[in-house]
Order: sequence, then structure tokens, then C-alpha cells
Amino acid sequence: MKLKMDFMLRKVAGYYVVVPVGESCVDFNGMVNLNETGAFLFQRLQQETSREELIQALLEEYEVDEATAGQAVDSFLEKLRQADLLA
Amino acid sequence: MSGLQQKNVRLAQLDPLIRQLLEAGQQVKFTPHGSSMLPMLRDGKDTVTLTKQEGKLKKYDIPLYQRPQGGYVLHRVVGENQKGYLLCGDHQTALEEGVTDEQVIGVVCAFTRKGKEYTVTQTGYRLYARLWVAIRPLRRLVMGGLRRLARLYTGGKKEKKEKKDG
Repeated sequence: MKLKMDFMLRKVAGYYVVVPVGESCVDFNGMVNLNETGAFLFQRLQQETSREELIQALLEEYEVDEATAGQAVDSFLEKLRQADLLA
Repeated sequence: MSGLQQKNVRLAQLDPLIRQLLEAGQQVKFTPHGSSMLPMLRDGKDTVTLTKQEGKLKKYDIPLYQRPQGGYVLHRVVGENQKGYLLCGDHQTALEEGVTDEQVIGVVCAFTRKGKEYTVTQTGYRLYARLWVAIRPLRRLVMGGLRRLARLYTGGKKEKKEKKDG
């Protein structure tokens, strides 16, 4: 899986905002904000990846157990799908 | 643990990003707050699309500008004098003077009102802008009149309904 289009992440007031690259008009209404972990996963989704790879990346980067990482990835992916950002 | 949320961010925090996008030739759309641009823009409901300002502002343009004290304002240009532009919200009568090009971040090129999209080049909108600026000293009277009419209209409806129920 992969993100639908190119985005850049910009840090604004302590979190990251997702800005579509090359869009003629950037809509700040309902703009997606990410925390550190969210931004970490989001960046990995700019290239083709899988749920397992994302969990593995989280385990390598953060001190969490596999169950917590799995839950985090699942809820994150679900939210991305709801926001229609996943291809 | 993983966070993704959609929420409103203060304009001050988005300022650098907005400037960067406008500079790159992109437009930005957001929902302004406040009642000073009524009846055109309703607080927190209608949206505006900004584009980068090329050259001087013209009368009737609606720039987003930053006051020297830091506040962000979206008001209409109604004239110019030696100190700079004269600005006035559509729901105001007093003028703000001395606004300069350096304070301008972007200018409204389109907006949505009640879900409908408008551009600032549209005839209906241009008529509104000209008329509304022309009657500036009488705005309170006109807005008051419109509100009274609206009250009469909705009041009348309620009475009818009550009669029906009775």
C-alpha cells in the first residue's frame, strides 16, 4: 500500500500538517495533522510498503511491544482510509 | 499512539506555510472567523480562497493582511491615500488607514457562501461589492432593515404555524 499522491509534511506548532504537493489549491479546512508517530508512518507510506513493514519500522524506532505497534498501525491506516489518502 | 486528526489551526501558526504556498503559485482555501465581513462571509461557515497578490491592490479587493500588532485581518480595500490603503470590513463603517503592500499576505480570488462557489470576477459579486462600498455610511441602517425584514418574515411564519396548530 502507498499514499494516493505526493505530500509534504510541514511542522506547525508542534505537530505535522500534510500538504499536497502540486495541488493548485490547498484546502486548510479539514487539513490532516499528524503527531511524531503519525508523521513517522506517513513518511514510510510515501513509498510502497506493507502493514508488517510499518510495524517492524515502529518496533525499530520506538520502545514498544508488537501488539501496541500493531494496534497503532491499524488505527493509523484506518484513519488514512477514512480521509481517503491511501491508494 | 499514532495520531492523525483534523482540526482548526490558528492562522498565526499557519502563516509561514500559507506564505510559502502562495509564493510557490498555489492557492490556499480556509474558513475565516469573525463577523466583520458580513453579509458576504458568515463566521466560521463560508470559505475564502487566497492567491498571491501581484502588484498593487485595487479598490474592492479583499486582502489578508497582518497588522503591526500581529493580528490577521481580511477586509476590503475601499480606497487609498498617501499613508496607504483604506480598508473596511463589509460589516463595518469605520475605515482603517495606512495598510501597506508589505502587510499583505494574499488576496481573495474566490469564496464559497452557503456552499455555493463564487469568483471575485463574477458580475453578481462585483455589483454587490460596488453597491456595498457605495452605501458604506448607510450600512447599519440597511443591515438593521434587513434583519427586521427577516424577523417579520420568520415571525409571520411562526404565527401561521401557531394558528394551524390551534
